[in-house]
Amino acid sequence: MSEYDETVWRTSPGRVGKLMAILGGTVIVGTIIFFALGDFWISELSPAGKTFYGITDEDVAAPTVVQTGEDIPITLDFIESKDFRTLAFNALPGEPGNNPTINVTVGDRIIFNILNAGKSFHAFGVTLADEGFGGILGGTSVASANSPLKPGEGGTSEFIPSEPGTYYYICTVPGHREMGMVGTIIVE
Amino acid sequence: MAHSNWAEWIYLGVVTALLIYVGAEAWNIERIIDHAPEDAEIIKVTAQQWFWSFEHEDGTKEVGELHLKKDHAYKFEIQSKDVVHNFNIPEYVVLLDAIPGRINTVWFSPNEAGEFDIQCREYCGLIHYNMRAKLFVEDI
Amino acid sequence: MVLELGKARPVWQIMFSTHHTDVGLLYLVFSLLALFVGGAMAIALRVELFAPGVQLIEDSMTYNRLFTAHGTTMIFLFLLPSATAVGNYLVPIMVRYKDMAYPKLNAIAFWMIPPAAVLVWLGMADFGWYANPPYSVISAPAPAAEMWIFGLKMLGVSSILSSINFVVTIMKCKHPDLSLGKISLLSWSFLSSSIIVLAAMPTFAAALLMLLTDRLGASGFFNPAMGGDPIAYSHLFWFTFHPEVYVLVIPAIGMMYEIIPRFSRRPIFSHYSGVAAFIILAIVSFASWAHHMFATGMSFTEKTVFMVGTLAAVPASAMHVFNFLATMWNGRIKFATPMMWAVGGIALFFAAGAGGVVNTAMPLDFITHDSYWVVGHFHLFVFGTIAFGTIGFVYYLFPYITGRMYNEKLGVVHFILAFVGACITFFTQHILGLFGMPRRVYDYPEIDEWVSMNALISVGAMIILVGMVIFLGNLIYSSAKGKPANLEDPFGLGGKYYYPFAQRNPHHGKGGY
Repeated sequence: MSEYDETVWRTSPGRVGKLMAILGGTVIVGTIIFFALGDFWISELSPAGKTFYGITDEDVAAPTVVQTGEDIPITLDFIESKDFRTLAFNALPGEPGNNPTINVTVGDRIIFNILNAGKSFHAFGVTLADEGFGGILGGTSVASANSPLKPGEGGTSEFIPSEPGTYYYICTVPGHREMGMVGTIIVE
Repeated sequence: MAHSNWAEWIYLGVVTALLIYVGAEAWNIERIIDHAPEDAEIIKVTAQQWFWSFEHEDGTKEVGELHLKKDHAYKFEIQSKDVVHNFNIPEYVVLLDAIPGRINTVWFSPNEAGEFDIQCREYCGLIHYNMRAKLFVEDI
Repeated sequence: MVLELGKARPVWQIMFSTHHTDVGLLYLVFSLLALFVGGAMAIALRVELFAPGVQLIEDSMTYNRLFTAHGTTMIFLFLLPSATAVGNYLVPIMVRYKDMAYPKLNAIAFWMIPPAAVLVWLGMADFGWYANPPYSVISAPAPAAEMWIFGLKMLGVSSILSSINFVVTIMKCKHPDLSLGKISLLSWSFLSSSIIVLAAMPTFAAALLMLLTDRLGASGFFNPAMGGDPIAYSHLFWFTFHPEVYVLVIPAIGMMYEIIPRFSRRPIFSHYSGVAAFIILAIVSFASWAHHMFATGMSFTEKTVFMVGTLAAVPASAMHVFNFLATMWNGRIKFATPMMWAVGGIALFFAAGAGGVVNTAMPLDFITHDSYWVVGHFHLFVFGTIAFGTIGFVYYLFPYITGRMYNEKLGVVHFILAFVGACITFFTQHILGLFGMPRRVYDYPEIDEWVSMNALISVGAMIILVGMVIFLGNLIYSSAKGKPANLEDPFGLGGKYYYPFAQRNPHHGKGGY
């Protein structure tokens, strides 16, 4: 049986306003903090990940080389085939300009202008290794596999070879070299 | 409570019978398809972030595409180089995890020629959504 | 607010209170906030998936973080706290005790949740709410992953603490004249779900710790490069989380046990069937975890065992459905908003369960595993059953908490939009899964059927969105300016209710309960 004889107190506009202010304010402050720090939250790999992917904190240190030759600007765009199974620089296989070979002399400074013209993620580097994505020479990388270039993003880097030989410029995202993103730099 | 609930018992009986039927039929079919035929040709499938590569018995390697023959039995030995992926040919209901550190096997025999999609069916990171390959089944 | 001892108090006093109605209110408000935050994330996902190509989200990393945050938010920050909210409000009243068994612990359990939410929301890890290794160990970026792990640790502890509270309150603090078999079915639902949590949650706590040490490189439990086995994590995770999905559903069914008999103006068909079904479900839920792992390369025998374990839980759920339908049969049903939500919830519960039987039939799982079928299936449970039951119960409790009535017409409109939207969205997702579309994908190729179905699903999601916006408006406006409710019979059902408003608690004497 109901015998409730005390006054019933009901929620009021003031109370609701206070509640919305607390909740709304917290959400807004949180959102500001989140965006203010941007990509900080996803900026690193775990220690186990670094071990697995062989990513050390620095690229293979290249000896400081003095430029004795010319400046050679090279533009390289990351592109993808429509079905995403073939990747390349500048043009797809079979078309002119695909993965251009760069011929330079020791001491020249190659200035790479890199642009991600595709829809996927890419990153750039020069290596001596003839397979895989490791051994990137210091100073040549633009972005990296765990913080890659998003579509439309780009960057520059340079490479002054100190020894003659065959070098490779690649996309450093694992697998992309195997799918076609590799070109040669022949240094005499 | 003093009311009879025979209706509830009958309902439960019907539900349980249906479930037993589903379970028995599923058990039977899975039992039949669980073992690959002995003459199945082995194809090694390697999954890595974010593409597929294949190796035939005779050593031929293919990246991003796979050429097979119609009405032949194939057994896939699936492995992964980094994280868990899942090798899936939806049109032939081929589906099995690619787990680093072990080799999983699944078999099939394509009975239609044509082009089919291969996709990854386990979240594996940035380009999981595009980890695709093409299966070409040829009529030879 | 009415249920809080009938007297207005400053907001900060409610926040620091340990009384069960105050803690219940904190849980409720927080869980509704999480519902809208998680819902906003879902809308972002569906806008992106409306068509192939970029619609809203520029890169796949952001998309991956969003779906992880969406799942984590909805499960841990909406579904679990909203159930705890209802339990906190009503269980002490229903067992005729003055508060929960450990009021301070109760408040602590709540206050662990907002910091955990901050960790999860600021970090926004990207590995899906399962955090499967090796991806979560070697490939998921830091510090987001560690923040998620710590956040979930806190949420797990909070869950365990509130479960201890429920079990002790119900079993030890109930009124001496009340036998365990006779306590309300809502209380039974909290007893059984709390016991499941106590048995299942510690496994996940262990798995989280192992994941963390693996990430730091200090151990190799799940990292094959260090000799570990990723499937071990799957076993530990699903050993907790399969029973955990029952923890999510059981309170919602308990809430339906409150609404349906009351609005049908008939007693529940069989109280003891309900009790038996809750007990059976709690036990059998532990027998089915590896049905989530059929595609990992398990042997035929293992798969069979788990298929049987999964099927064994279905009759218990069927008992609940029968109980509800038999109660409504020949009742003088009043289809007020709470009743609509409860009945809609039962219909979708049935559909969800039917889809689940398909998944557990071993060969069929290879068609549906990790595709949109699974997404549709579990959303029919979490949205179609649990959210429906919870939202219906929020409408039901609304007059008792605020002293005012919500706008009934808007409540009906909300229900229709949510039900129609849920059917369009989630049933279509089942079909999309049969056509092979994988889940957790940022984009998809231009396969005609996929394109048209995705567009349809996104439209369905927008319909749900409109309903939810109306809900939010209704809640805010009606709590400020709604019509004062008749607290003895807010829904005009006739007859007297024995609680929550007019119950006399023998511990309190006149004027309190």
